[in-house]
Amino acid sequence: MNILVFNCGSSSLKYRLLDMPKGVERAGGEAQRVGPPTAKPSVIFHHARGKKESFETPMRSHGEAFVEVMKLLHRDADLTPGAVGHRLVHGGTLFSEPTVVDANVLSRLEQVRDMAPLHNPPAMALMQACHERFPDLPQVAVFDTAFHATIPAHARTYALPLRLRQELGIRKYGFHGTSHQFVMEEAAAFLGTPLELFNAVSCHLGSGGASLCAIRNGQSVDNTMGYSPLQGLVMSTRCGDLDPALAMNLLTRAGGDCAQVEKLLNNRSGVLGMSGSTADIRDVLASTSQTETWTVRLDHTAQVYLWRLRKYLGAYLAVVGNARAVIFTDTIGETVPAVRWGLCSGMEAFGLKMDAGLNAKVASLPADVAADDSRIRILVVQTNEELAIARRTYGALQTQVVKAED
Amino acid sequence: MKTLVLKPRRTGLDYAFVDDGRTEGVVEGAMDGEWDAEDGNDPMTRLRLQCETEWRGAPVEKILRAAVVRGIYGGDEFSKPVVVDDQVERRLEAMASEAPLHMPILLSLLRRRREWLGGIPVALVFETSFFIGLPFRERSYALDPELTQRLKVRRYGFQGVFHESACRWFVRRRGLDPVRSRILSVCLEARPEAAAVMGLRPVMATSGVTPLEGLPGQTSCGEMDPSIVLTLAQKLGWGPEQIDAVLTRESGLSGLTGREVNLDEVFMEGNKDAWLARDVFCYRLLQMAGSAAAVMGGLDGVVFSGRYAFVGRHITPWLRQRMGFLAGLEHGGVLFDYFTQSFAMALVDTAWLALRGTRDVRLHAGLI
Amino acid sequence: MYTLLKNKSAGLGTELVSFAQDLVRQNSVSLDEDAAAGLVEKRMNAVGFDKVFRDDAGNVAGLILGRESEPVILLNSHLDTVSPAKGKTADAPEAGSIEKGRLYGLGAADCKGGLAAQIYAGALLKRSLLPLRGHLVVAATVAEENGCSVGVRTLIEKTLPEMGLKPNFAILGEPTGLGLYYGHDGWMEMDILIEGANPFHVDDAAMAIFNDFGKRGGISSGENRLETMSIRQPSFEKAEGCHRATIPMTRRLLPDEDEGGVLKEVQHEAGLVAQSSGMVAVEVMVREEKQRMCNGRTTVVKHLTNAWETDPFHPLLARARQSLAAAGCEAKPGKWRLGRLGMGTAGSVLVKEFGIPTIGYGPGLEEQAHRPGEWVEVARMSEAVYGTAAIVHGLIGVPVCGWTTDEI
Repeated sequence: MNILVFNCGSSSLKYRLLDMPKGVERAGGEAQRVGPPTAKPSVIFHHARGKKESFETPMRSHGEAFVEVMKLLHRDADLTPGAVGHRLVHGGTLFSEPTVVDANVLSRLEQVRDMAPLHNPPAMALMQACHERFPDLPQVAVFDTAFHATIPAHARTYALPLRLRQELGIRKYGFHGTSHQFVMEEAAAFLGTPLELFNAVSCHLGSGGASLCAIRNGQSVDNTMGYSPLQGLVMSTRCGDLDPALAMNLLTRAGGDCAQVEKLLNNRSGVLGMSGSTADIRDVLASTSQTETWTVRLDHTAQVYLWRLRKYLGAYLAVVGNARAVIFTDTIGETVPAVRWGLCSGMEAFGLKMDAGLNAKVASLPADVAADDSRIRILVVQTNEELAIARRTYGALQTQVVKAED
Repeated sequence: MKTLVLKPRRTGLDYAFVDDGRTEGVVEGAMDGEWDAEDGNDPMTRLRLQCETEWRGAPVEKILRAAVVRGIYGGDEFSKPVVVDDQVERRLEAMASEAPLHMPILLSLLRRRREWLGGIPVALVFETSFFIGLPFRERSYALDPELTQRLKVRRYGFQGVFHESACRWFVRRRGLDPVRSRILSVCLEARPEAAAVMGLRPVMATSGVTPLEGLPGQTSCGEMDPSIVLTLAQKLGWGPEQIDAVLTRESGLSGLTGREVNLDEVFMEGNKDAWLARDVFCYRLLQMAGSAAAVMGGLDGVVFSGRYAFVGRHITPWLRQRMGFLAGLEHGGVLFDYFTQSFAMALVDTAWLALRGTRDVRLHAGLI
Repeated sequence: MYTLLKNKSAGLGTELVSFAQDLVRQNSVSLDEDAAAGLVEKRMNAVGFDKVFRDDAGNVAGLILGRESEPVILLNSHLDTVSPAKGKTADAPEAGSIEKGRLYGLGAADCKGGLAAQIYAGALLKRSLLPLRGHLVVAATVAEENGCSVGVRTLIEKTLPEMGLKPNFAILGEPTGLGLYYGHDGWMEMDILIEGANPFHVDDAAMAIFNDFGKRGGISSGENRLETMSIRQPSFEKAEGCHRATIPMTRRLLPDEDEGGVLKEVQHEAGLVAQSSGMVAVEVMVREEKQRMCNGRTTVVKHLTNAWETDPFHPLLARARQSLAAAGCEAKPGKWRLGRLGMGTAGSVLVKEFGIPTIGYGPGLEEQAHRPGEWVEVARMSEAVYGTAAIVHGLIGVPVCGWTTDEI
């Protein structure tokens, strides 16, 4: 079955066509500059069967982009999708697993639209368009938060009055779930451990956002991101953990202007705020600055970044108890040995020992870079969100079929 | 002779008299009253009045060797206890805005020290001093340094006296090598605080710029996604002052339980409604144990201190059982203990240790 | 922090009331505010303002310094009152006396009660030792009621800039019944001049205009009577071979109206009415007056108050509302009705001329203003001290979030 996977940006639409359950990619591409016309025309970069093409065509909405993509795919009978998988960032408490979309689901989705005000609306518009244009094409919504639905109460509850927690739905949701789940499955398979017995700490270290996930018995039991993606690790432009009193003080100083504080904490802090020059930890680690002030500042940035990671790694290894593996993934996790080393060196007390040589030259993924005598394995695994979504989509449809037969 | 221990509060004063040699128990008490109350109704004047009756008119200097005052916040300015003089007063005045609620009270006590305490030396011990040397990587937030310097933003711990005394006691009692010891120190007060202490120096602390961050307190929320503050402002139209009131006074263990509770009640058997508060608190402690082991490269022991130090006994079995994350020998070797000394004694100890080199003979003799 | 403020403000109660009594007893009709200014100056010094000074116009301003010098907030109330009503109302209690919790006397509500509360809000912040980021200026200004805000204009144009202060916000102590007010309509006094060679024509035209405009003397219905226009009988004079009639008239200005537009409109309408009366020229002018201030200087003032409004969503209003809510005070937002023409506040000058966002928060009731037997509730005055201090701290205080007063 061909599954078409969509990943919506605010003005882009990425798609992959995967043959499931084999997971072989058949086609893919990206529609760019989706939305009201700009100086440059909207364009689709498409590839299939080793051939790359690009088409300029007006696409005023994600729905129109979707129609264009379908036109491209329908040129080739082999590339006709049998189902569509959508990535949704936030499913709130309503959606804790991949969900087959129908009119009822579409209306329930409205309730979680504002939980991720930047990401959910375009994805929902796209689903609406799919539903109208191709009512017979099965669609599945896959939520970033869904994997974290298993986080227990003691880890997901903020110590706030009940009425606030209930009225505003304030709790830890956790993010990057699709990726954490995917690399967990890959790692368990790599180690030959049954998923339901697999304990690990997964480190999704992206060039933008980053989070750690504590996994017990194949389920998420904690995530460093919280109610929003702001909490937790030091990220490229997000501050991560912060004294709530400091947030209130900043709000006072901004004369109550939330947008200003939000922008400061989300867009101008983290690696960018500390380094003052780059939002990319790779630049910070690689840079050899001329002046001493800058060298010190870059060194400080790297220290704070790694230190926070290490504290959480320790905390999550404690939470997991008997971890089988520490998993590194996404851009930074896959390609920056210095970050992995910064986290895993000196962790013998946990039974975690990295092989410096293996870590330095990882050739192909997945790779195990732990020393032979390390109790906990250290795996570098490539994440593949589209494939992950396709798997979830396929799984949800299979379950539906089984249910229908019952 | 005695040493007088003073803990000024917003509307009163906790005091204790510690006898020389300190073999006997400590006499403790509290005095209420506004610090700027007129006609002698301030807590210190009332304490003096009470003393005069007890001392049958003997002058202060005949009874007291010294006074030791607890300061909550010493900023980057005070890295150790000091003997108060006019210059210290001025330095404190200059940093009043960093601890706007506490510094004024401290100053109203110190400014009239001669009137109340005659010529005896007054030592001032800051809770933050222990944490002043936290490594840069631990004390920094991931913010623009220009901003953090301007607003004097950095992480502190606010229970330094207990942490320091408890760790020193723990090392001595358990025969650990002080220089290599790796301890998770858990101070169980109304606003609990944990610290990773390596070689008797802190390398990690749960509190932040204020005592609000970190472990959940009896009524304070502790660590939380900072965007929740913005969500409350946006969705409820609350200003920072209203949010602050809820986060500092209606949250924490009480917020989780749905009624006002203290740490003792949370861990008392039979309080079924406190299960979530208990679970959350223990879970955060477990995480701290993990973090502490990660930043110190291992963990030798866990020491509980503070008013609710004994609550640690309820936590220990569970925590010990979860120590399986530590490999091999270390697993079974984590020591647990409870530092149950009173705050007054801990404070006097801290002051003496720091000031034993001073030239003031009275202070020296009194504190030994 | 609010418990602290509340306790301390209770401690200041007696002092506040006796000062307000003194202030009300001291006559200070517009342009004769000197003695009252002296009282204010003395009191500001006594309660610990960092600097107190009196400027050329006779205004008194007290300064409490912040640590970062930004933002600057101005608490402003006028010192002067309207002239006492002729024919004293016999049953009104004596000025400065307190009966059933009300402080009586001319200016009690408008706005000496507000002024006293603002001065003591400064005292309260000082006394509670809560540090401020920005500076706090409390200013008692002269010549408001009759002088069309000459006092406040001098303050902003000259006095404060000389001290290096530029207010970012202003709060007026005018009567709002402890609501948060953010504006009011304006009014403008005009003279309609009719000139012509033929005295009968001038007479006809003047009477035609008077009758026509008089009928409009716009009234809205019922008890919410809102005067929109008033016109007086024309006066006639003969000058250099021509006859002239002058009709004084006052007209409400709405927020979207300005001086020039209204003049044009009135002139056009008066012209139309006068058309049938023969050869006359009609001209409309804003009334101007030369005034001698209490310090002897003279100024020409226009009898005009612009309508003004601070955006109800402006952070000033939002933060004031939030601070009051946190302090446990209820404060309804609203606007002054200005039921009678000729009333106004310094907000017109602050907002319209200097672009300073302004709100009102005062203990008096608007309907008490300019009334014989005027009073202000003592309890409200006390609450105004606390509320004003809370607002000021919210806007320019060093934030104290995360700390509680006692336990840590």
